[in-house]
Amino acid sequence: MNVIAVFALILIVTMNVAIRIMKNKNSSRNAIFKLNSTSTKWLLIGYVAILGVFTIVAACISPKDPSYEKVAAEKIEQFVDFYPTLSQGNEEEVPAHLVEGKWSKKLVSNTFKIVNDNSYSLPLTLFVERVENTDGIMEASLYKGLDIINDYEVRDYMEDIELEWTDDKLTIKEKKNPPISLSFFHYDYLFKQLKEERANTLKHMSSHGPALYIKVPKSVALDIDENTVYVIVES
Amino acid sequence: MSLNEVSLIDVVRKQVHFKWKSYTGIFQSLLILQILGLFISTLGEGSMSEPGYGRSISVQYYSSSILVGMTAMWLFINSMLLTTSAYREDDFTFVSTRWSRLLANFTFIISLALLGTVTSFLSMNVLKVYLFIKNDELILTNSLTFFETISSLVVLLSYLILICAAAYTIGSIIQRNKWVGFGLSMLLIVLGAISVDYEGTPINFLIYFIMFDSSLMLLLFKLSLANGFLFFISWMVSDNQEVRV
Repeated sequence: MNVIAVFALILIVTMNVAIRIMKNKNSSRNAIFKLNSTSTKWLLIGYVAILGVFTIVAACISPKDPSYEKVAAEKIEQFVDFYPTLSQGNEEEVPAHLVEGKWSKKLVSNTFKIVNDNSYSLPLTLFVERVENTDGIMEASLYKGLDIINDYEVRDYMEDIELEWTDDKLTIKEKKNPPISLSFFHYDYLFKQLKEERANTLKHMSSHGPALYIKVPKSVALDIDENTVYVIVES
Repeated sequence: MSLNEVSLIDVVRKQVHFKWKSYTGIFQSLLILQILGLFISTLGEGSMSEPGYGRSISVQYYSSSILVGMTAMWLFINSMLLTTSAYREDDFTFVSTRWSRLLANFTFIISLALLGTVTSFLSMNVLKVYLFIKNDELILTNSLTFFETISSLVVLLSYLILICAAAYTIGSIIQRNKWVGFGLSMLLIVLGAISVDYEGTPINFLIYFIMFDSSLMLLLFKLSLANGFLFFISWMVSDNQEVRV
């Protein structure tokens, strides 16, 4: 059990006992303390003053630039839109800023292997387009993904994915990164009523995973793990 | 027989002053409840986690709702207690009338609501400081501008006065006739249960009518109307009540 919860319980029990002693005139035990009106007045003033100090401290230590920023709806739409665009083979229609990396490989053999080195399914969507190419050159583009928690973008999302290229093989790996811990503070309904934020947008996660678009010459045989799900692009 | 003519305002002012000086327990309980609310708030109101591919993501949620809830509870209980016979007998130690007593109680209740509004809002900053120190990555999802803060405080104050008015009215009815009070309490519980189970019923319509208004002036008008209505009922109920039992 949380230490704070235990502390709160102890506080309640202690207060309950103290109040009983203070109220019971026949008690053999003396009251721990009794506050008259002057003491209570100063206690109240002191309490408000302490709260005031905390208010100033909160204003001073709150970061000027938030480490996480809200994602605009237009940005989310871009990420949602590029999947159907890629599946139709219209790679050139995807905005250039969504490209994380590009590769062009001259294949040395007639077979190219794609291996999923993850304990789970692929951490990205794999699009494969078979192209007429007599030079044996394979082209690949990695498109960014977007992980959103309550409208806030998770930073360095792409660092979770690692691609290892060799002459005849691509290995898709997952990189173990330190866990992310986020805390959200929000004012309750009464403070949001006038802002028209009544609907609780919290407790919402969505992920638009990255995509790898590979153009493989038709002359090259493609060897993909049987458990790997991928999309064949109809060009 | 005194030849001094005492005005109503003077009587009310003295009664309110007396209440502030003698009902010290009310203020002490506010401190205790808000400190307790702060402890409970640090536990957070929920969490979730996502295993993820390369890393796990855990999310904690904190809000000001417990602090506001504790303050509302404090106001509800104390407003109701003001209608009890012990407090009523205190009121009539002064040269006073039922009308002056009622006005003094209303003024006292409104001042309590004001104190509750200020302290509950300020105590949210204690929670924020704790969270800033504890978490490097604290996200304030709905930061308020200066105007939003002021208007939100006015709204909070109005809601707290509404809670006080409701509690005072219920207390007055209970003091008048315990059976009517019991019946009314049961009715409120049943209506509450119905309104939770069936969204969009006429009962909820009344709640939505007030709570789903984003215009400050209109909202204040509705809340003032509701407060006035509740205080009027409590006046009607306690108008011809015995001064001492």
